[in-house]
Amino acid sequence: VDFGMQYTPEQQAFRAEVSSWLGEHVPDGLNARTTTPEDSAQRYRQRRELGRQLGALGWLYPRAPRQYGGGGLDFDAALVLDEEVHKHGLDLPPYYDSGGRFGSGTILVWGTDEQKKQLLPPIYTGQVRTWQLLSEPQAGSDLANARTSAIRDGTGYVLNGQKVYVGSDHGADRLWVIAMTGRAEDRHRNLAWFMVDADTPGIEIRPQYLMSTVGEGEGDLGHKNTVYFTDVRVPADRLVGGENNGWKVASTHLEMEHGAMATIGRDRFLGRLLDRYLDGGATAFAADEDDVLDVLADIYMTSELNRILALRNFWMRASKQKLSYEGPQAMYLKKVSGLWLTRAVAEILGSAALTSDEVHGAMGGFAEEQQREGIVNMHPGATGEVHKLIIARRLGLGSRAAEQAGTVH
Amino acid sequence: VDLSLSATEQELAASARAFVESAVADQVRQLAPDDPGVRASWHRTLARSGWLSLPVPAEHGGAGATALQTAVVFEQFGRGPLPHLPLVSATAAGLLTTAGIPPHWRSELLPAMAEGTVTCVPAGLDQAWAGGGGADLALRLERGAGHGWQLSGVVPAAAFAGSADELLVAVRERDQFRIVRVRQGDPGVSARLLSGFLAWNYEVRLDGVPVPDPGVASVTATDLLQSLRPAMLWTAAYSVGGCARVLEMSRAYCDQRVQFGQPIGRFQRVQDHVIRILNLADQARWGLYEALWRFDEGLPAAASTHLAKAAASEGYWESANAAHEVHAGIGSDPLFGLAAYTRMARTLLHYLGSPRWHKRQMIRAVLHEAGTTRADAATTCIAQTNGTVAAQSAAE
Repeated sequence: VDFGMQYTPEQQAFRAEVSSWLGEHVPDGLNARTTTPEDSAQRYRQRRELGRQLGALGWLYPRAPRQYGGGGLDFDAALVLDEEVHKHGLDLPPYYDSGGRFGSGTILVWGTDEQKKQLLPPIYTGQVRTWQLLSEPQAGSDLANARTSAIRDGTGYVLNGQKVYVGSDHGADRLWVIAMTGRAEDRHRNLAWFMVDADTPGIEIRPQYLMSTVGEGEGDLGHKNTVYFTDVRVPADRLVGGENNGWKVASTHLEMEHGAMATIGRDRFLGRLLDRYLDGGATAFAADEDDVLDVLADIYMTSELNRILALRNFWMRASKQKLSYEGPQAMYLKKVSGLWLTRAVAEILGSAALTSDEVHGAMGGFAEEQQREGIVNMHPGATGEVHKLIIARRLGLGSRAAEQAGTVH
Repeated sequence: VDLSLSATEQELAASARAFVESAVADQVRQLAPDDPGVRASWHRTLARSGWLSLPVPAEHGGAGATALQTAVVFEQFGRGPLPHLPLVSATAAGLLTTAGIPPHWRSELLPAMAEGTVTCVPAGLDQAWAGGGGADLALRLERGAGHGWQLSGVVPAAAFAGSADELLVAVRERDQFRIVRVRQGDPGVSARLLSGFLAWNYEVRLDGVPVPDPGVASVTATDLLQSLRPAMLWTAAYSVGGCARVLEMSRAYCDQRVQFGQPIGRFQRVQDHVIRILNLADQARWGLYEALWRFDEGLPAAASTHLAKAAASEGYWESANAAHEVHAGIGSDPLFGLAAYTRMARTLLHYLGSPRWHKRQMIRAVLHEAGTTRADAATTCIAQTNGTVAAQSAAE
């Protein structure tokens, strides 16, 4: 058993190179909380530019194949990058790119060679930002009930429908869309995936405001969107994985979204809480010393156990082991602990956890942000109940054949 | 990162598992409530297989195994569940390595414990560690009339004290402990098996027990805590093994038991209980394995050890509860088997400290480490700043 990272002299040299490069290229204040839409837009531009610079070096998607613009780096080198980027309070990519992350992984498994050559390099080099479009008003947990239609018409498809809870603000270049290519009654045999240019005529994007900020990263302002498709023409070569085969293709996308793409950094929110105690002791909290320590202990333990299970998943994926329930399990625990955390934090911080006021808000407003996100984050990428259902199927509970996890490598 | 077990560790686990499945599981199910939990046949196998020597340092006749190697065996014992005498004995072995324990105790006891010819267990540790701080531990160690001491009082619960050849009785005196070596059969020593859910524990009465000077040692609380950390990890391993078995039983019952015309595992509310056990079992297992890795690598392991013990103890308790929800009535039938795990989960909850006590130890270690890291970073920053200033001054 080895939970530690073993670094060769070459990898240590790589770390020094990465650290130095990030020190020079990560703009100051990239993680400061944004307070105006202009701040947020400026920060997004900086993050995209940083993404392009990382992409030019193959560091934006370090594990992705080099032939498609990724870094082609081995597991340990990618980990070095992750760790160094994390020190700057960032993740890879440093902006919201869900369609890029999950879409590219899905294309690697299901796309044709030509599609890989055409669609992957812009993602891996940071030239495009991609949103994922899955949920619809009637298709949330029941994704197989998606009704956005994609009708074959000559050399392409025509899409009509509505997607909800999409992306962030500042727009996207591409949309990774699941739509219905078959008959509504042929459930699970009527879907397909498309990579659509976001500026295609007939696409309308309207802001959808939620209780949390859901921006480009921690501390950002932002919103989700509703996306309408009205007679949107998409070339046939943008269909990935085959017509009416989308439910199988979705198994890859959903496996990644459901926790197989584990990140392993330590919880920044926990770090801020510990800093608060180290700076001010129990007087920085609204509870007695023993109560503060007890709650901090529970928070630390919960956070650490989430991290360790994420590390397990990271190791399983990196060493190409057969996955079963592990992704949904980690995701489920992360979701329920996030909601639990809101109460725990409010208990020891009192009203300071509930206001973003510059004077009275705790931890620079991050505590108040967590109060909202702990609730909102229960639902993206499937609800807790859906995750439990997947786990049960993977275990084969009730004398069923155990369901197989989606292919992610 | 490589979280897989080595071939040696897998072999150790496999042999222990074979023993547990063939010689323990059925017998444990049928143990009477007042059974002492000890079998000569088990003990012979434990000694012959070298499992008793795993927690004993090589320089004292033990195997010199890593904490992980010992843990993978104890995890299998926990699956039995084999009554936890090997764990209690391992705790005593750890106690004997504490600074301040006379060398002749180690040379007399540890090789014999490794061979299985002497059984030695601690008494009074739980009361000292379990959050009460030992204030209510009614033990008195006083100077006797001539040379030596007299030990009096009651240890309310000490595991396997009635089966052991020797007891190491902990008497708390403010910030230090006196460890008193008492032999079974010494005048004034008596042990009575406790009834109820606490498995294989004895009340130990010490009525003016004469103890010669060489039978009393002084250790600090800090040193004692340090030497007992491996035993805390092995306790967690026992619990992890129990969780794994409880999960297996619950999954199997989900498939076998039919109600309303279908296996109960198809009902989502039953699935919820199984998934809860799965999550608790995985959290306990991987939390333990990271702590074992840190310990064996010589990395700071205090926080992760306390985390592992707390997660495993709580996880086992809650897993057993959830398993009873899955099994309903049959789970309460001792002959079915689940009850043995339920009882063990209760018995191990407070062994070597309650979950709450471990969590407080954990967060203190975390804050200490975080504070040290920040102080180091600040020192480095100041040093670098001073260096820069010095360099600038020199340049000017």
